[in-house]
Amino acid sequence: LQRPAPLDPGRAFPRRPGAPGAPRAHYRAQQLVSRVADARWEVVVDVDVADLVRAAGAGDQSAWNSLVERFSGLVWSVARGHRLGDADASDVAQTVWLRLVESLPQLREPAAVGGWLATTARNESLRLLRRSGLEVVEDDLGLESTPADEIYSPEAVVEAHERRDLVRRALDALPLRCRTLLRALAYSPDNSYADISVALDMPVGSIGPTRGRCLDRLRQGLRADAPHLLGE
Amino acid sequence: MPGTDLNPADRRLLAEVRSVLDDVDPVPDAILTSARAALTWLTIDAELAALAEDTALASAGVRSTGLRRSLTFESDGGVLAFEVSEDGNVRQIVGQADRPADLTVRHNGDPITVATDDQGRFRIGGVLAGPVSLHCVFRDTPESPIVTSWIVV
Repeated sequence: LQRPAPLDPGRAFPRRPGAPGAPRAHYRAQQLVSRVADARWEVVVDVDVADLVRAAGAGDQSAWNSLVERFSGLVWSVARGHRLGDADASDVAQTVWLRLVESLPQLREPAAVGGWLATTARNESLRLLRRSGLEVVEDDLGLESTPADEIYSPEAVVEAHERRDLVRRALDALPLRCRTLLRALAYSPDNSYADISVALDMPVGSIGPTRGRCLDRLRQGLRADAPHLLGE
Repeated sequence: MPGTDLNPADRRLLAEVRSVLDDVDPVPDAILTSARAALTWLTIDAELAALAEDTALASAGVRSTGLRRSLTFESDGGVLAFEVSEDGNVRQIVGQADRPADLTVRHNGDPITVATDDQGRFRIGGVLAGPVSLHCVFRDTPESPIVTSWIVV
């Protein structure tokens, strides 16, 4: 079961290395590598993003636009990964960016803004789902949780001629955790783990194996209907 | 590519996922526009009041109509507590500041300004559904306004 999202994503995002419950984040090097002494929290600073965040905090609109350009796909994909409809997903996305604006002055890890955005998007999505009275079940990775034949009925397959429909169906057939992970990976700059580990509340060490399982499941789904997409 | 150990096939599949999603579910232009415009709300004068409580209030028997929520925002500078009631796409906000103040509601429509009574009580109608934040200038400490964290109502 999904545990309740903290009320304040600013608080929820652990910034103190080694704090109890702090996820193992691993930010990759782009220009400057700065390893924090605590081995549990190996941070490699992305100077570009940190500079953009600081400039935006000083009111620099073009820096802010660059952040929007860079991360809007990630924010949107997290909301959509929770199966929010147009109106709800729009509310979440809009709110996430407004939250970032209000948090700019006190954001303590500007380089980790991607993770902050993804986490806030997740918490807001869950809050909205709870408010709508929808039960949020974070399904596990068990293969039995999604009966594929419901999604891949003969009728559905016949209709799904187009590549995009096939891939979308295969994505939709995945459990929430897989769906969100793959969408976030696809939209995270450079498919980085950093933005995602925090958002999905997963230790960085388990993202690799989970990602592997999720990609396998996506392949299984595609193999049934669209082996040509896999080059098979 | 550093950091991720994606093999070429994984990378192709993820690229496929992204291209499909770009195609079938791109970020709406309206979101990009409002995200860019969000920076205009950058206020350095006001202290951020964090959400301390968010409770759905049971309404007598009827589900999904007349939903009400009770919200409390706190900061060192002051406290705002209010209830939000829904009527279609419009919200009514009724609540109390811990002392008399002038409030501005920031939402998807034009900002709405109201003054509380001398007990700090206020009532604001015509708030549009979506993200909402209240900017609050206390009459006894006008130099230290607070602003509530954005929340979807």
